[in-house]
Amino acid sequence: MKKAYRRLFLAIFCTFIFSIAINFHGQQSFAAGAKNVTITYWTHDEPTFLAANKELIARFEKQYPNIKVKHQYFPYDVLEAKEKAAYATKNESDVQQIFGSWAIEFTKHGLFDAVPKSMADEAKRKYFQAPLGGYTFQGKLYGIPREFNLENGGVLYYPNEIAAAGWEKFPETYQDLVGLAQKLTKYDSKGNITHYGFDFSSTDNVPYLFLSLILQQGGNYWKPDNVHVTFTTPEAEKAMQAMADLILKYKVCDMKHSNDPNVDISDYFFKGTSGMCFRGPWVIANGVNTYKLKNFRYAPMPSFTGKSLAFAAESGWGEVVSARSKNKKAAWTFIKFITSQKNNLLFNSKTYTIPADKSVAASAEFMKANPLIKPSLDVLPYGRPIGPLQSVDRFKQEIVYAQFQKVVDKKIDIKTALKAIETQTNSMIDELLAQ
Amino acid sequence: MLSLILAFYNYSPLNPKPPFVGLQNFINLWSDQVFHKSFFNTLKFVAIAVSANLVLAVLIAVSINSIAKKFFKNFFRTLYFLPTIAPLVAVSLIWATMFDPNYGVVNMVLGLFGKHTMIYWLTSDRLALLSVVIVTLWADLGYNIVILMAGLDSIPKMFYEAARIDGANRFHTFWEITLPLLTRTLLFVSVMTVISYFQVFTQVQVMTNGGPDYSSEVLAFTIYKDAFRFMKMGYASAISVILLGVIMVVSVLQLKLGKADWEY
Repeated sequence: MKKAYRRLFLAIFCTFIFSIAINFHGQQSFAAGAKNVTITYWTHDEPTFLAANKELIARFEKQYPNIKVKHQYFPYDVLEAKEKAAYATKNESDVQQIFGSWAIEFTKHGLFDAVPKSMADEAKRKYFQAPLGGYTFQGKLYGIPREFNLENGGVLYYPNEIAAAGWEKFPETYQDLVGLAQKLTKYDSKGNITHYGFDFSSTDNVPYLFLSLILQQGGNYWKPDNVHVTFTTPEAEKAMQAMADLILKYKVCDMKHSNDPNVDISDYFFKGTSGMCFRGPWVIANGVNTYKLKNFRYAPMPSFTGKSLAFAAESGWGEVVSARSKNKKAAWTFIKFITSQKNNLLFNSKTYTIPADKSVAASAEFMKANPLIKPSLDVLPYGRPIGPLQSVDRFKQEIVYAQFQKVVDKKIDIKTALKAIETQTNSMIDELLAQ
Repeated sequence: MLSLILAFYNYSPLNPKPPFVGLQNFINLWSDQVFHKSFFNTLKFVAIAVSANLVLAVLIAVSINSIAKKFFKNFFRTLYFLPTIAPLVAVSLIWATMFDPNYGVVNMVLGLFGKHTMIYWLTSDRLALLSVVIVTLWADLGYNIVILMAGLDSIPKMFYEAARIDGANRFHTFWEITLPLLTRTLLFVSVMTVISYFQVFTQVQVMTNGGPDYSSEVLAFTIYKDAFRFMKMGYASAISVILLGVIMVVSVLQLKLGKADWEY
């Protein structure tokens, strides 16, 4: 009996020691062939991002004591310029947080390190296609996304306002949405809008609404070569007509308030100047944290056709490693750690961002922490990468938004605008491909 | 110099071997409607803002100079100079808030003088550039006032005494004595102001972002946008070369036309 106990105790003890050894080996796998390493890491300085990143770095350093992370953070536009300048002068950090649509300018010049094969294979299974798109170049993956950036799929609204307008619940058809927007719009004696019924007038949302209206009709804006675009299509014409109607025919929005660089259209909504606002879910954080509001909701944007919810998406924030980094192994170890399911959940919950990780998006834990985001999560499967436009910002601001502004100012007609969008986008693509 | 070289390349800082494109950047400018608009907006801005600046600065400098009490003279000179030391970004942000059509103090004040209406100062293509001019004048006038006051102080008093003996009124004194004898100071001030206003950037970047529909886009803003937002650095360099050429031509013309053939 005693022997049996002794054997059992010995077996348990051995198992315990063995499991500790295995665990220790797992944690120290990087350390096996390495001394202490310091990796530099540049990120965006948005407060919620900062809090999440700092927590993840602390967790990482605890688990990997021989890797130190030197973390520096910068405002959005400074970060982009800094990263470009740093790569130009061969002075970049080991790891950078970038926005997916910036990646192509770097990847085509071979400046990012390709994701290690095992990680890349896992990422293709683990993440949504749209956020991966920005980090993919010629079939290879060059970064791991942490969010699914979205400017589609949801509309901010105040339940009490729509109830006062005679709507018990948020509209489920596009026609009803327009009807409600008309009821919510208020004007002064000169016909100027004082309260916007449906605000979509930002440089992000005009282009994204335009693209989604095309895709929802079953249209496509890429030519068969997948290099150049076509916008002289019946679907594009119908899409731009629908958007122009919102301003010129239904008069539920204007473009007069939307070019103030200091104010986001969601700020107008949170200040009570608009009844509905078509904006990405990331602005919810602004309403909750900055404006301390609890009386607004975020509803799914009804389909334009009643059949499809298709939309184009522009990747999202993610992490890349410099191809010149002397600490690639440590850098990828770090990225692998911070993009585990558990850490992705922490990051997306803290930052109010849509998960790029399918399992996080589907988790009850994430839903519980972010109930307002549900409409966005429901449309994620309908998202597709915006495509190789070479410069998404230029396409959005300088081309689509600029031409749409001319249409609503009645300076040009829709056909002329679409022709200009097609021509200018293709010449931009050619110019940037030649760089 | 480097900018001049880059103007002949399709340059991206991320590409170690940028392709040489010869005059292509300049040829593209010829048909670029945004550049045309930006170029003419810059000329319009310089013409309006420099003229308004010089007229107002001269009138205010003469008015302050005519104050007998030294304390008040210094007080007003300091008061007008104060806005020039305020950071332009902060000034632009505050003015952008003041110009807000719904909550801005400018529309509120205008409402006191008549029926209240929403004026879209920064988002109307007729008013956006004018709003930038107003802010620029407010922020910049004091500098020229101080220089012109120094110029006024250097005019010998005997000319004014002679005019008074001859029975000249204040207008004649200003027109026949002050203005002609101030031309050298005015030339310096106008050359410096023109050079500075051709490079207007901060107010546009902060207040209007060049909009709406490029109605307030100026060359310095176009250069910044093309170079740092869209990474068209070769193209932006070509615009810089043109801006440099325009500033040089205008400055040389000013110096030639403003030559004074007298001294006291």
